Amino acid sequence: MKKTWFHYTTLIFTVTIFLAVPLHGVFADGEGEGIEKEANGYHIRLVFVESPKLGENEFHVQITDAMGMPVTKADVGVIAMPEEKMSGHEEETGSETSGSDSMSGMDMPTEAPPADDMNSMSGMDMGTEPESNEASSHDEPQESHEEEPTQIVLDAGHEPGEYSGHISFNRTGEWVFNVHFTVDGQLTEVEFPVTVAGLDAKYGILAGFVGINASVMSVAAIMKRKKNSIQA
Amino acid sequence: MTTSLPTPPPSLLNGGNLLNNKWIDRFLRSRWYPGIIQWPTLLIFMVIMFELILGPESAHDNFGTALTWVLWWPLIPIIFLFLGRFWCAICPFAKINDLVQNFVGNNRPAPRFLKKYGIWIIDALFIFIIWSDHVFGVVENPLGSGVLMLTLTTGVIVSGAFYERRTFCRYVCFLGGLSGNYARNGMLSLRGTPEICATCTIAACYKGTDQSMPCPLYEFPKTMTSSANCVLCAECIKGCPNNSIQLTVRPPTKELWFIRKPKLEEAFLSAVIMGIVFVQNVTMLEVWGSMLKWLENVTGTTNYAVTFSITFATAIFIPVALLGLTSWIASKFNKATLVENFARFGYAIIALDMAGHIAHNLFHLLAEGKSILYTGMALFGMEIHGASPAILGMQEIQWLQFGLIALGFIGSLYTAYRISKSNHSGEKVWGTFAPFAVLMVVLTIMNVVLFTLPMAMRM
Repeated sequence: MKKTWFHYTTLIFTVTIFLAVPLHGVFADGEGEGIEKEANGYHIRLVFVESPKLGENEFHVQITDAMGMPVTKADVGVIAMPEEKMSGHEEETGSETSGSDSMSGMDMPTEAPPADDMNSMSGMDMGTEPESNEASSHDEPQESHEEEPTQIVLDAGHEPGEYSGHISFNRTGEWVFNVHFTVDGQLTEVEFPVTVAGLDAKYGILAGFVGINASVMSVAAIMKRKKNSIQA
Repeated sequence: MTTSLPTPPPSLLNGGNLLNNKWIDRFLRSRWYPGIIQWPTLLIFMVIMFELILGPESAHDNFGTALTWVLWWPLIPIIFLFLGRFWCAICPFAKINDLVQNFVGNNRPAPRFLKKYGIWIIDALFIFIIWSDHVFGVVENPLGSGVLMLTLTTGVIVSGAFYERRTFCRYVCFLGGLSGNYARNGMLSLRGTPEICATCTIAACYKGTDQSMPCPLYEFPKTMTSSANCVLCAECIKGCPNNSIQLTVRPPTKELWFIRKPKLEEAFLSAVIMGIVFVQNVTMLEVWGSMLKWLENVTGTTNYAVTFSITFATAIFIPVALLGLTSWIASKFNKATLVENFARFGYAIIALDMAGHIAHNLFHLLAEGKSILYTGMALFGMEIHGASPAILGMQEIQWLQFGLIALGFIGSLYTAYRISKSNHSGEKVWGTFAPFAVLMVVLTIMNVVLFTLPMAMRM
């Protein structure tokens, strides 16, 4: 009896902690996964401090040169706009959107074939890009005021080669971050796809696993009870 | 007149029974063991799970990633070397299995197909998980690592809910397969005393008693000849009414010298592990990008799943094929079949596997070790920017890696010799040993070359 009581206490304790810890996470901050790209010999990494979500978000852009040295004196800016808006814009200007990475995806920087990115980036570094950038920033809203491209000028961050900025997302879904910077008068431009989450996928995954495991244990408990009653 | 002096018992480090030391004996027999280590491990595991799933999404900043892949993963083969499968006794998954079993467990016997194909299933799972790591991102993606842990948790919950003992750990856990192989190489051995066990009819070690659980991994110390499935949980020590159990220290690789019934699947796993060590090294090399580019040009696709799968299959195929080729050459001398030689001498690679595995992860532990501290401090709001995560310099790490590979080479070479000696006689010993010695030299050179190239960081 004493042993059973001990077992029940330990199970309740374990399950409580196991469930309580993730619930606590609802209120915890999480730092965003970075996407890395290369263009003009520069290595550019976009990192969100938290997973991109509706409302205010902080992000960093880290730039290193071909030797891996941080690029410290660049003028860095970002033009952000929903992807569908960007697609229409691309059709007009003929610029390329590269990569299929997603901020909420499982892709790791090392997994993205560098060659692919390089090719895409080289397309973006053509002389037409500054024009397209300009066009983006001054594009007139076509559907609603909410979809107007957002222009952000980034400030130097904590670390050398890091630049920080804030953006307020007003809608969920796919966005395109056009990161552009000028070093020694040369403009480089890279596009990053960003997924702004509505319902956090992590909680969906967690809920799925909790559901499966709870079902398994419930079935096992029912089977055990049946077995015991037959034996009795 | 001569008086015969009683033979002194062997020292504890020279084959003496560690249980003769009252502190070790008392600790292992205590009702608090292994719980006193298992519960804190479970709590740390929960922190890791929280961090992996809900913490920072960048591996660089995730405390769970640092604890799992920079600390635990590099330490685990070292633990296997010195303490056998002790980790499995304190593993949080095992604790979850036991807890679920206590409450809702149906305690059915392990399914027959698992018993029959268990190690092949482990081999396949191990290969699949390593492949998934590269294709979907597990190690470098905290959420990916979290999903892997959740999947394993689900596995042990299913096992604990329906099956007896630790069916999952014995027949499914991919780490169990790896640790089983490494534990054979390990320095701790638990066995029954043959003279005492010969008269025993109760088999308390296998079945359990009121004071002890049955062996969780279905081992029977009376007939046990391998440490592959002994997790040092000490249940048999607690349960044996005859104090038959002995815990001894032995030289590394000793068990591999006399494998009575070599199994093809275990030998295959040891060759596979060598391939995995290769692929883990290759994909972290700075030249990996250029290799990938070349592969993309050759295959005409930039799909990473395709290019990596080709690399992965090649890396695994190389040691398996080399072992097969060597076994075929040796069969010309010893008249054994290729399969017999493959199964027997596959075990000789384990020492080199282990050395390569430790050497690879030593880089992560020593070149990125401080990231554990930094990411841990970040949990309390203490951000550290720009500080080096290295504990040791690259040159020192590289020397340690070469030292380990040298030890692994000696271990594998000597094991191949002992296996040859215990299975053959006369000229056949050297005729069989020679091709396997060449194999060990080739595998060692491949490892050394990989460790001379600059490696990228995990964090």
